[in-house]
Amino acid sequence: MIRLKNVSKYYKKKEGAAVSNLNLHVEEGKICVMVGPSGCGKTTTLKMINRIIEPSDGNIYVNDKNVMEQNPNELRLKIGYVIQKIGLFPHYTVYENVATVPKLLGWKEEKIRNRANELLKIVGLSPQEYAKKYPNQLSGGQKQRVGVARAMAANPPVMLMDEPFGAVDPITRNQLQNEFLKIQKKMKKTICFVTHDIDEAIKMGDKIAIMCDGKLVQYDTPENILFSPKNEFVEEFVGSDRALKVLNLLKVDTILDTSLPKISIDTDSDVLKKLALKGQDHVVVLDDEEKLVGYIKLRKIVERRSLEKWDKYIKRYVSTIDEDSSLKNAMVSMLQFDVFNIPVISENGVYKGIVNFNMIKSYISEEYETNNIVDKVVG
Amino acid sequence: MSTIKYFINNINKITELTYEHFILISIAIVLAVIIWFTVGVVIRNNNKLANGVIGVGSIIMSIPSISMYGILVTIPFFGLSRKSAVTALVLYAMLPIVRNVYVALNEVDKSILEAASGMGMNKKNVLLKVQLPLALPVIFAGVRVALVMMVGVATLAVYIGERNLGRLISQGITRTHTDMVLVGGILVALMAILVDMIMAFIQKKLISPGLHNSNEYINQEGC
Repeated sequence: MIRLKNVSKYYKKKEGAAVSNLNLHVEEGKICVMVGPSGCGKTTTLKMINRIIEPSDGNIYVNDKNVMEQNPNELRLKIGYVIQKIGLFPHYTVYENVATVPKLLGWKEEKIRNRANELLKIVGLSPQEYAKKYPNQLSGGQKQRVGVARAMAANPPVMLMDEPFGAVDPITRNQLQNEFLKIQKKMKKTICFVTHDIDEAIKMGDKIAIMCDGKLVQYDTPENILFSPKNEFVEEFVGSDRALKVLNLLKVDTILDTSLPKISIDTDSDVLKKLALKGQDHVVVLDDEEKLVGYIKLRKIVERRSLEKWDKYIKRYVSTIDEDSSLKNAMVSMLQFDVFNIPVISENGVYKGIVNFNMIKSYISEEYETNNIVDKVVG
Repeated sequence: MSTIKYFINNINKITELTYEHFILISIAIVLAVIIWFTVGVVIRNNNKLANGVIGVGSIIMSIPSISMYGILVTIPFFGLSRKSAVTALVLYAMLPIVRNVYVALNEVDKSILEAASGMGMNKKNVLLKVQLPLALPVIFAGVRVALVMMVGVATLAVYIGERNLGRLISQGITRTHTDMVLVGGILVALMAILVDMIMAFIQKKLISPGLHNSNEYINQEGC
């Protein structure tokens, strides 16, 4: 847990404060992303947490202990630190780099080796292949993986990351972000993460702290930042395409429609007739294992009155999507295949529900409306 | 032919002179490294002081070696002795070693130092475990320059009573004995090459393979 209380930083030479009266609380096991234009004080704030920069005013608590009352070196040993330029030690092998903090802590050789191998595996580098390499033999992405492994070496409960994925190409960055989120799901570290990229902030953050001119403008979940930006600055910073960003953030299961009747492929035709009489138009057909087969348009069949061998009327969906896809993926598929409904299936093909274009539309506009009303009431 | 003959006939004397030459520069380089390395480390964070010290080194470097020896022998404590010779050589080594130590320590990538202290290394550890190992290649370059220069400058110390390979050269010139001059000159050159090779060997042992440029990462995807 990290808590900043009325923290300020003044530089003598410069007029005004680099960071002024900042209050921030990062909950245990969550990622807080600090984001803002350059010079907004986000990196300064981060560096005050491990006392690379000393705060001029206020208190900072890491796991309920005031950092100012601790020896800075001992404090830093308990805080993982990843920087944009990575700062791997070029004269050390990958193994020695990862082993740095455990060695400073005086761990036994064997414990260090086990831990280093474990970590290299976690970040996706095979210890046999990479442990003995030097940083100049690695690619940018691999270096950053080693940097993350090194920061996690002594299993610190808290990690500070200063634009950790800023120096790699977009494809590698995306990959590293996904892998890091996967690692974080297991490790549950308390993380302070600095970036200037709002998309990265939305993707990585449990909460986002938007900063401007040394002040905290808005501290909230990504959803709330997107749906109800506090002021014009946040609105502008988030970008005019924030509706699209929301789609990227929301998973299909938030508006999954499970109301459509499901029938098994060997259902009696009478059941279909009853459904048709109830006015049901569209029915999803599944097999014995609940896997998706297709759909059937009842009205058309009822008109033809030949329900005996109804299975020949089953139509296949042109596209399906995974249950952990975002609404953006769903939209992309809809546009690509020119359809309004896309069935959602689990990893092993089991049918979960349908996403519908109109539902996405109304969900988003509803969210905006409620939040706008709240805004007006508050404002 | 006559040069080789001269070499063979005077092998005992030449061995002795070579040995003396080698001892002189060995003492001088050890002292020079200890003193100037320490100075370089001390001034690393003080720009003004560093400029002053390096300026002094440049002035010393610009003094012709004959006059340097001449000045030193007039100082009572030194006089016509090995002390004067060693002192002169150590003074000449000041600029290359101090400057390279200072520059090397300051050229170390700041992000690496920030990572080191950010991980919880104290100042001593940052200097000993990170900054110095990374500065070693440049420091070594300075020491090697100093050493090769010493081998040459040491020859002139014969004028203040040293017995070394310079003796063959100076006496050869006065006696217009070409073979003597040649043997002296060639041996000095060989010694310079030899000590440089020794340093290269030590350097390879001391400097991490991670700092060699030869194994620079090559993007395997070819993009």
